[in-house]
Amino acid sequence: MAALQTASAHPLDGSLAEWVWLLPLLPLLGALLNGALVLWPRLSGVTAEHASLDAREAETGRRLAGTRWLTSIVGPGVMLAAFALAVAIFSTMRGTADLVTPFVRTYASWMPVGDLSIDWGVQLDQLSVLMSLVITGVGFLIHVFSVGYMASDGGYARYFAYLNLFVAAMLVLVLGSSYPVMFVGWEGVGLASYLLIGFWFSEKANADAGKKAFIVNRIGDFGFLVAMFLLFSTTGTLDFVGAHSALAMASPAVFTAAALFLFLGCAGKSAQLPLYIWLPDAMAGPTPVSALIHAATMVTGGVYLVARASPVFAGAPEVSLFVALIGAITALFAATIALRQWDIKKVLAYSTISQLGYMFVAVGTGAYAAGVFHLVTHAFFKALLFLGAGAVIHAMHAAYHHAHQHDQDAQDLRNMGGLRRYLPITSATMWLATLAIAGVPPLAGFFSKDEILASVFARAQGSPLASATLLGVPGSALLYLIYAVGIITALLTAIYMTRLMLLAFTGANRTGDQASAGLHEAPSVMTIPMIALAVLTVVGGWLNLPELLPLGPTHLLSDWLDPVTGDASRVLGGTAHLDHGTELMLVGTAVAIALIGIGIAYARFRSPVATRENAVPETGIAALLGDAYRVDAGLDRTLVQPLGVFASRVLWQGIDQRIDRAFVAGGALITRVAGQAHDALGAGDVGRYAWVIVLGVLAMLAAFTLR
Amino acid sequence: MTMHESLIAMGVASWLLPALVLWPLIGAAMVLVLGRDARPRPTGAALPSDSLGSGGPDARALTLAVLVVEAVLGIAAWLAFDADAAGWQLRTDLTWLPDLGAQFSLGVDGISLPMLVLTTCLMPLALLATWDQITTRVPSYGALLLALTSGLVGVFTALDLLLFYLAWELMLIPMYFIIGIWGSAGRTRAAIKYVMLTMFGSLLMLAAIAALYVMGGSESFHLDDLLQLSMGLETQLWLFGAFFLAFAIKSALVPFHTWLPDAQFEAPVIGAVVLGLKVGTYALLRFAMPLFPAAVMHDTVQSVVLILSVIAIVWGALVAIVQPDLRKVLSYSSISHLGFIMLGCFALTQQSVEGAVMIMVNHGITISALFLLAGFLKERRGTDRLDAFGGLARVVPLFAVMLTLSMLSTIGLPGTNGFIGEFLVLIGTYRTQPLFAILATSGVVFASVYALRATQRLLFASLDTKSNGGLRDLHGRQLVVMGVFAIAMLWLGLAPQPVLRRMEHASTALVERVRGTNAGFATPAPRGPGSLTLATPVRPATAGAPLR
Repeated sequence: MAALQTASAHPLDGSLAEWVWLLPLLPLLGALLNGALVLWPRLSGVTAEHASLDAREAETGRRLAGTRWLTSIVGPGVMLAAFALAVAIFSTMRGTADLVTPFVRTYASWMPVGDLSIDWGVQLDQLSVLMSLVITGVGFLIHVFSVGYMASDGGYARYFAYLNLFVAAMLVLVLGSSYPVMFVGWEGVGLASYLLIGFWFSEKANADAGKKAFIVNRIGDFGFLVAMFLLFSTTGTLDFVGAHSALAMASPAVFTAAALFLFLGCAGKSAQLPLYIWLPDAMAGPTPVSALIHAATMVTGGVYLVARASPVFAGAPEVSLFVALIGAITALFAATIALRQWDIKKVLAYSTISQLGYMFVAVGTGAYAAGVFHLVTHAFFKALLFLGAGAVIHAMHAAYHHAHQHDQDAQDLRNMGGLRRYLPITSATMWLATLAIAGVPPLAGFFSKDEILASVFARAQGSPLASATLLGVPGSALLYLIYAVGIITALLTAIYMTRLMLLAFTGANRTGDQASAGLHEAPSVMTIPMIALAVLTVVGGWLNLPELLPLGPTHLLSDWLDPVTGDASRVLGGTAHLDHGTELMLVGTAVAIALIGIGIAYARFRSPVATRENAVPETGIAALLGDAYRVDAGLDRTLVQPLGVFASRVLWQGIDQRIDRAFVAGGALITRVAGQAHDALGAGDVGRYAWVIVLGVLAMLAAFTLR
Repeated sequence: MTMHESLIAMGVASWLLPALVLWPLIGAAMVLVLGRDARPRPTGAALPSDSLGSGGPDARALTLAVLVVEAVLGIAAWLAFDADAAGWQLRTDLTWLPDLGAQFSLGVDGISLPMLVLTTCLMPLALLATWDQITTRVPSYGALLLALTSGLVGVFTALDLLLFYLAWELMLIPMYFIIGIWGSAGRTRAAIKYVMLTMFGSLLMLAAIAALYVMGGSESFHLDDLLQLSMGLETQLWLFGAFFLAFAIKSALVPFHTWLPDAQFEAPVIGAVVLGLKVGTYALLRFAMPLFPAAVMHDTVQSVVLILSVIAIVWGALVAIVQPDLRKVLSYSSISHLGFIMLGCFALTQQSVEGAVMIMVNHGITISALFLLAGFLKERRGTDRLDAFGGLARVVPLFAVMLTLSMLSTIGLPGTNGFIGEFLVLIGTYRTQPLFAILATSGVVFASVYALRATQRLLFASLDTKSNGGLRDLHGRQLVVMGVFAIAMLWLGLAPQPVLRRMEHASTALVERVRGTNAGFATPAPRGPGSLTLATPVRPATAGAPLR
């Protein structure tokens, strides 16, 4: 593919980086191929040959079974190829000196209208290549896991078509060279998410969950769109490079408005208050989907956007503070709900919302590298936790299937217990991930969470954020508050995750004597990806070691990202600085909090619980948390239902149909005045009326002609 | 030699547009005289074309043949068009009513060309997709369809206002018959409501045309001559009001929209498809806006239209959410989309105007696909009530894929054609009317609600109604037609540049004429080096006869 537009000389010109366009194209190719496999039996006449639905589905299934091997190769295969390409490009970039400006390639003109010019282009820089590595790497592992997890599903090829499509869109999101191209990926991942949440669409609840996710995300997209309009009308371009440099001249109000609207988009995509409501429902999708889309990649899109638009946010310290505040509140809010969930995936879903809150705390305080660092480590350990949950659910399903107990809930922690005996690998790897997310050194989560909290604490003094005010409250006080919230959330995180592990893997088994005989460890196609993620969970912290703990080269990730987010980070960081004594104290606090949390959970949740069937209904605060503060029901009553009634009763039946009747009545009046009998019209003498029109027109023409 | 140069050298410019207007009329006569009515089909007969017998060619096949030729002519017009030239192209002036000064004057520019090509290509596709749906009085049906096509092409190519008016009415009458004769149970009321409202508008417009003619004093109805008139603000306001009302009714702008859901619901599917073509807003851009610039820029007019546009966007979307039938959902979604078009027209920036035309084209494609899909349901089950279905994705996966794609296009998912127009309108509107742009953008949220609700009711959840299990998926010609629509939606979504490029001069000219000055944001700036437009300087069109 020839680049139409060649920028001035760039160190990556002519290097392997020129192949970056292939990165999103590979999974797209996989999606098209798998999609063709799905539709091929239908296109080639299954419909015509078989009258009944059952016969048709049986025939389609038979034909699809014949191509299953191809899907198993293509689905993960394109991911492996993309990952290899991403690694190759990354090594090229690492080996290139003076990589300061992004490598931008434009391939075709998309929307050229007047002074607006939007091109299909990609931007390769330190941030986008890092995201590509995570997406293709973790994505590949989850594709492999899916081969086992979805093995007996009738929609096998359709699943991989959607999953490949998702990765393609996600790569467009991170590699796009302008806001509109990013928006293509942004909505593309939303579409893939919608399709995958509702993957088992025969259940109404699943389809509803997909719909809800899409609509709530659209509220965020509204913000993204308005931000683009604002940026274009201010800077005359929507390319990242051009818009950000032209923005330097803009007034503070423009920065504030653009950052706020962009953040609305982020809150939708990354499930922050108040737009988080779709993510718990999104657990209706297959569990590997939750791992890839709703934990590791798509939901971090908002964090990526803030980092990508860091020049915008750096110009609006108040909005940045606001972002951090929303992140902190979300983190705490979701963590409290996670304490009282019984569905293993719901615990992880609220945990994800909570961890995303941490990332927004980081990028909101201008610690972009710390936010991206946590994004990466979270991708490792949370993907692992979800895959582990998938292995557990897989085993529970098989067990209940084995015992013919199909009405039992395979995801309820109360039905588990003692699973370590049956799923040793799952148990061990999930424990590692749990310790990581709880913040136990030297696992990945410890380093990334610690860096976030340390940055917040540092910036509470001597930074532009500290001297800014939000709603009359000084930034300094807010930042200390955010730090405190972060510490409390860390405590809760340690508690709810340990609770999950204790309930699922320790104590006596509650699956039932009959069913427990069917419990077994997942096949190696599923455990190997989990082991790989476990390794990353252990070593991930080495990506960005602090100076305080020089267990190897320090600040690798921060230094790597410096050309992209460094300037903005320094603008918001000001002269903020931590001395080693304070830093040591912060680290000590964080570790102590993690250990206390684990201890509390051990003390509280080691006692046996009743199975789901025998459970006593909860009351008080436990029930409130179990129902996630009843936000969904409240929104339904106060917003969704009234809007429907308003549209139906007021707008449609009230006004619309009344206007209609008025027009008809008015028309009847006119015709009466004109001497036409109303009855003749009502009786429907079509021809006569139309001839009147024809003659009328002719008469008018004649009148003109004979003038 | 480029394609358009070779076509011009072949002399197509002198006959292509008249042929496009007149050929369907000739075809209509042929179908009426030669065409044979379809035999009532025995139940279960697979192919309608198996009844070759005495009495001449099958009227339906003959109609299709005429429409295919028309589509080829339409594509020829596209190829003969010079994207880099300003002004009218393929211009033809024939003497028509010399006493009156009315000419048979046709021409296209970048605004009318896409509408023309869309119309000519849509008609045969729609006929093919609804092949089995009309079985009575087929010759009359075919003839009316062809007359309707002629009217539509006339509207999109006429430069003489009297000719335009004639074509405008020529559209109305066949449509009235098509709804009234081949429509469903409530057809009479719907047809009469449609005719009365639009006739009311037409008469106002006729009066305004007459007034322009008298005031002009140059004994001409030609747009180019009338554009030379200088009128006071008050005159402009009155005449603009008459035109605007006619076009607002025709395009179903809130609050003149209530005829559309009824007409599209009661009409046969092909009628609903044609009603989805935005002739009203096209006429607004072509005639009303350039003729009365002072009125368009008048503060009150601006406020009224912009407010109505935003109301239409939100209102249409909200009412679409609570509709019980698929086709009513689609009608109200059209009413919502019309709001975007109006907004784009009146925001009057290069982006917003080109965006408005893009929506007209893309909406024409998408809503047609959706109405045809609704027609398939109605054809198979006798209804398109949402609650009569559910779980269809299992039964008819190809239908499901097409419905999902079309719905995504409706809600403007980037990558589909629906995004382009909406995005351009909004980004262009924001430059002059940021508040209205923000309010209008909220429409993207509501659109996702109605579109996904309808999609889900039809395709997902469990397959409750047993009779739906036997539904037949898209096949044969339906599949081919839907494939063409799918390609068009993705192509125009990913690479709309060929259309945008052809619009450039016409939209610039319009914005500059109406704004009166060379407003900063309306100036076409150099495009990326990738585009070809900079290579050739702007020159006037050489095709067609000189101005008289």
